[in-house]
Amino acid sequence: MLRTFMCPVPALVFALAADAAPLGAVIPALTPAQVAALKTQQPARAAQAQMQQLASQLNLGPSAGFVPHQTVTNAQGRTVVRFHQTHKGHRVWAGEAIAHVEPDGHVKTLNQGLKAQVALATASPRLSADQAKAIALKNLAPKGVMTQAPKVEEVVFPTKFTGGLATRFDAARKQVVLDKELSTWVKAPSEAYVRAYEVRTLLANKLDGHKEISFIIDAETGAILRKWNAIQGDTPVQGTGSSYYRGQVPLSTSRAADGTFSLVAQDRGSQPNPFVLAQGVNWTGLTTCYSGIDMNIGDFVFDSYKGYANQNQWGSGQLMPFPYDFNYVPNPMGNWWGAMLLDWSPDGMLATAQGALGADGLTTAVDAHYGLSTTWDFYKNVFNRNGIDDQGTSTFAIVHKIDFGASGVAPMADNAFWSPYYFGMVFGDGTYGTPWANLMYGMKAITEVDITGHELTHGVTEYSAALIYAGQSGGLNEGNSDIFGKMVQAYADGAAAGATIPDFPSGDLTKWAVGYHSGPDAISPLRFMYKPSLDGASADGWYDGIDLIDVHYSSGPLNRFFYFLTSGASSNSTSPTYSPYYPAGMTGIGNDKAARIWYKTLTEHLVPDSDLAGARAAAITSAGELFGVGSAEEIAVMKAWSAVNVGLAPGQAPRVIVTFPVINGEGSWLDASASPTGILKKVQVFPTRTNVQIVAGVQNTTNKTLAFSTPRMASNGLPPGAVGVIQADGTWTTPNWNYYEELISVQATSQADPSQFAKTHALLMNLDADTDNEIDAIDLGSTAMSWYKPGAGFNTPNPAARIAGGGDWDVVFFTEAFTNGFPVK
Amino acid sequence: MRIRSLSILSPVLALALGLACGGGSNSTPASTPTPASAQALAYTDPTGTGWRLVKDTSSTPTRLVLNLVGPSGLKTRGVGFNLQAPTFVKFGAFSSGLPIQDAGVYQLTTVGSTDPSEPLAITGGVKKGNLLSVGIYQKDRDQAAQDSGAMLCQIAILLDPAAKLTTGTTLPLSIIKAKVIPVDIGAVTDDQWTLDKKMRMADISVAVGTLTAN
Repeated sequence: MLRTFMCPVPALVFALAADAAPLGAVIPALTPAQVAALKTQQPARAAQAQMQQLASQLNLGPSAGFVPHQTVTNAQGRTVVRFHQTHKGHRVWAGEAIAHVEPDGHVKTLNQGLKAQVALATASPRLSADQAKAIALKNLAPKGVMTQAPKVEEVVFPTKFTGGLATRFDAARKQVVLDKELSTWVKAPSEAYVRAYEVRTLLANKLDGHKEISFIIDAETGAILRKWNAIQGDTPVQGTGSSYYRGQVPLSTSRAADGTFSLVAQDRGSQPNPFVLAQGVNWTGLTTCYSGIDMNIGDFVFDSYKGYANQNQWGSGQLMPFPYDFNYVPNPMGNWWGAMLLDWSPDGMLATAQGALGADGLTTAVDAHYGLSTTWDFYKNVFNRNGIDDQGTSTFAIVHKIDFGASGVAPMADNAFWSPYYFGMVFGDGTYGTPWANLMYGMKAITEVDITGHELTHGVTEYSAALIYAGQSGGLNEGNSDIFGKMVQAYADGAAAGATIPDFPSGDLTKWAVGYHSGPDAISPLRFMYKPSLDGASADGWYDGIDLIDVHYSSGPLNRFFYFLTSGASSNSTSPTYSPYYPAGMTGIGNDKAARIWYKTLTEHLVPDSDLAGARAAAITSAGELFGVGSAEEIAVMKAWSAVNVGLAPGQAPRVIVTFPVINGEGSWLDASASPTGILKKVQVFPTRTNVQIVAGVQNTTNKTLAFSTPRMASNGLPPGAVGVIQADGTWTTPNWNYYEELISVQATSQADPSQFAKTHALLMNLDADTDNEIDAIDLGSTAMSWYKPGAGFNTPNPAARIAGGGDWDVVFFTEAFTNGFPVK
Repeated sequence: MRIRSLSILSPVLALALGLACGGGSNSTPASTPTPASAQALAYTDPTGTGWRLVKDTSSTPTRLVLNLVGPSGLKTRGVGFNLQAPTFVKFGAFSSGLPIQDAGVYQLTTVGSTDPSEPLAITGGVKKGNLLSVGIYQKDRDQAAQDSGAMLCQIAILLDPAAKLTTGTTLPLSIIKAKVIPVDIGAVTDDQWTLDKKMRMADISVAVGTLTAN
């Protein structure tokens, strides 16, 4: 089942006006003056009044309300108003409605994001906001000082979003592993909705690094229902570097009264940046900054390249080199060896990456400034969007990001991300050329133009569809950033001006590799939009279980859909642009049309928990609105989605579908009834050395035969077959295994159609805590004896008792594996 | 997922098969009375004051609830045992879904816990061959050890109507392995050698009564 909406309101669209234009009618573009005149009529107010009237029709009850949080008027004059759904004045988490106010005043509402039948068991929260904040901070356990006080908001939380096990990609092991920091073990409350607090935190100091952990705290019980890192990042990206990659680039800068210049594009952003404004500083315009450490308090700091240069020429075209010779000074400052990579201020209280303020360091700043300026222009000129939030709020970029690790400071970081707290972006220099490059991704400076476009687009997404950064919606979020990052690149490859997006050279697939120049070599870009699976982890199409992989990999279907839509698909089965889901191939409609369809989809139709099926429906609607129902463009959208195994193109017969049920849901604390949302709902924990049986369902064929496999990423150091063999009937004797953090991917492939498969994950626990070669509940006694309170420093003499590394994870995994392995029948 | 287990023919079915094979005839012995099928489980408590499984008053004819009780005055921090039962009875689950029920003596949460979702060291399952394995333990060594002379936990045994047991059938139960966490498990400040000697579970012997199908 592709759709994951909870209790969707039956009708998708309510046309309030009797003579409202039918869906799919082509809406002509208006002049900018006409659009501006429409905005003065305050269409959002009319939409809100109509929304409130609709509450009863939508069966939302008298307590429902709608609070507008985004208003955008597009080139056709349609004003799109996004509303937070509220219940008794409190935001319903992930509840969203969209109203379309057409130029003639007609209002249409899209309600697929609304949460129906909201009811709460309690009249008021038992816990106070301060108590919720205390619970969050206790769990967060910051090592350094909080950068800002946590923000707390009472919300109504749909319990289907209750968390579970989270994963992360271990770069050193090249393996998806359990992420205990972001995992939760609480069972979902029995009610569909509960009162809760959303607590948002910001840490940016040398002890904690930069984290923006958010929590959902049950306002009745105090349980942590969900936990996530709000940073929406791209793992390593590449750097292309100003003249280093793109020759001499124009930069929009500022000249001060004293004659100095700054990397501030004053024409890109008119409202002050909220983060720095909260600290009493007014920054407007697009500002590029460098990262540093305030040694007085140990916090990350940043400052702009304001007043820095006496000439308005920036950078050398070369990236700053890695300066440190390990053979010369092996450990100059205790274990804080990375300090040798820093430049210190005269008083020793400010440290920056070595060379960050020199000519080579400025090259990276040029890359970022150019890329983000071009991205700003792209949205303004092509889509008439006034910046990230369409309100002209100013943003900033920090380059030369400094990371802290257990062994010290590391200025060369493989990281770039959009920071909601900053309303800004952070870019690392990459680990290429460093001694630890082989432990990371080994990227070069992470400021290539498609990457800077990618990161700023995360901001655009946050201020439009606000796609939840997990599961299928998370994959859509990432894919959306890849799409517009590429469109910015195409825009920059052209004139970087005007209202249209040129195509890439036909057949040049390197243009569709994300971060093509940033990798350590020519074959290691971040992602391959034309065939995502070339990276060894991303999905080429939808399958049951795609929710379980990292959002950078579940972006694959959207990325490939967009490639097919722009450039077409081959009918040659040996081509990397061939799809077994649409073997006939198709012709693309070009970058400009495809981008307009997708931008309309993002800004006017998608909601926070949209999935691939919802995205398909929305894109078809958008294409119909732009080009007409039945148009070649709309048909191309259907074909492109079909080519990534999402829906069918006209005339196609239903496909074979393979699905995993929840494996042995009996006794599992993982909610078997909820749809996965990026947290692992389907993963099961089993004992080692136990007979279990895998079951999967097959639809739309009489041939139900499946082949089971356990595909795992290569280079994890384990021999093939280390997890044993799952027989054709699904029986599996779990192996002797001591890798409790590593997820075992289990795949079931249809023998009727080998292109159709499903995947799930298993965690195997060695439960023989008393090492008597017998697994039984008595082993839990040994594990209980070894239990320790976090920070107690207790060192058990029996390491075998710590089956999951210690603490309550030992207890959780033991009890789950035991009840899953030996259920009561 | 289900764990496969061998099915054992019920005595009634085995008898029927034997008659069919040995008779050499298509006729059915009309005069043989059909043994009455058991409708209830009867349990006689074991004697003694040591570790034992005794019948709980909440038992019904088809659901026998047994309480684990230990010696009065003996302090422990948790207990686990493996109970072997014939395959023609089933073990029942409690509202938690587990085949073991906490009686509230052992302090399963940490001292001062305010986390309603704190994982608890209590589990149970049925292994191949109808072996019930259950355990309930205090994980926080700062919690005081508890007097074992009270109901510490419960298990449940069900009469399986499909087995069609004849009245009077004795159903052998035996606890083949049982251990407790003793009162002294060392201190976090002890050296590793001391901890290694003290952090060991102690064997116990649990007396089981007589189970009969009536």
